[in-house]
Amino acid sequence: MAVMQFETNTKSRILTVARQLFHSRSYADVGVKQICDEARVQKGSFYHFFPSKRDLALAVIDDMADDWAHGFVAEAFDHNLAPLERLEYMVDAAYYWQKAAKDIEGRVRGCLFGNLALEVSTREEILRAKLMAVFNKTKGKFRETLEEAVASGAIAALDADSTAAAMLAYLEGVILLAKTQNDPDVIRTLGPAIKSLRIELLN
Amino acid sequence: MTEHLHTLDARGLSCPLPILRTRKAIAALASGEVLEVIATDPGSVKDISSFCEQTGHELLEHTAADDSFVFRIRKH
Repeated sequence: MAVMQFETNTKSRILTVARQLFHSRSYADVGVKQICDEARVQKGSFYHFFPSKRDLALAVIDDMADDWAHGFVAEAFDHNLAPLERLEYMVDAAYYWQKAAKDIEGRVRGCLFGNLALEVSTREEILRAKLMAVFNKTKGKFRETLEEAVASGAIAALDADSTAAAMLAYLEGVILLAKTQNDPDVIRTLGPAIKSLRIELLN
Repeated sequence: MTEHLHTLDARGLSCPLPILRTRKAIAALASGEVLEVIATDPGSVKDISSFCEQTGHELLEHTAADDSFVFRIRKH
């Protein structure tokens, strides 16, 4: 039991440090040695849990996606909120999350998934596919929200799947601009317009 | 003026959850009512003051005690 606990702690330390470093720097920039040093683990232990840096990145993406799903994504896409209001909470979540990094480190970090997608999509097929799955899951949340908004009469019928993709693209794009300008206020200024996006149904 | 005090326990939550829950809790109040938020995330200090500035709610006071922060916000 004690050994299991120790292993869990070691693994979670590696994941926490890797998430932090991949996010504040990049996937390519951070090596296994630095992760081991900062997590205070031996390289042998690292490779016991993660056969390669790519395996670690897959686990970081899963771990972060899981935290999001149970954390602010669940909080924003709360069924007790009116459907379109959920979008405002999602924008708020992105704003305060990016602002927190700016307040602490002086830099807007961007979206970890977006950053990784830009960096690895052409180089690591397995990571690209994993990131695409995360984006699809988030798009699904937008789509459900839009379908509910249509069903309740809050908005007219639209192409919910394409509009959901457009909303995700808009939010990721706004976060990218905020990162490039190093100013989280970009999200607060542009974000709310997400509600006005719509792609009409064909025919 | 006396009012019933509403409390939100956001201890153990990290950014951006405390602010999202604060926003939800404030939305459920009537104008003039006061919400007390207890949080442990150090980022909540800046977040809650920006939130109040941007939304027009009044941050009546903010204190720190025993590793937690207590905010009292009057709804706009």
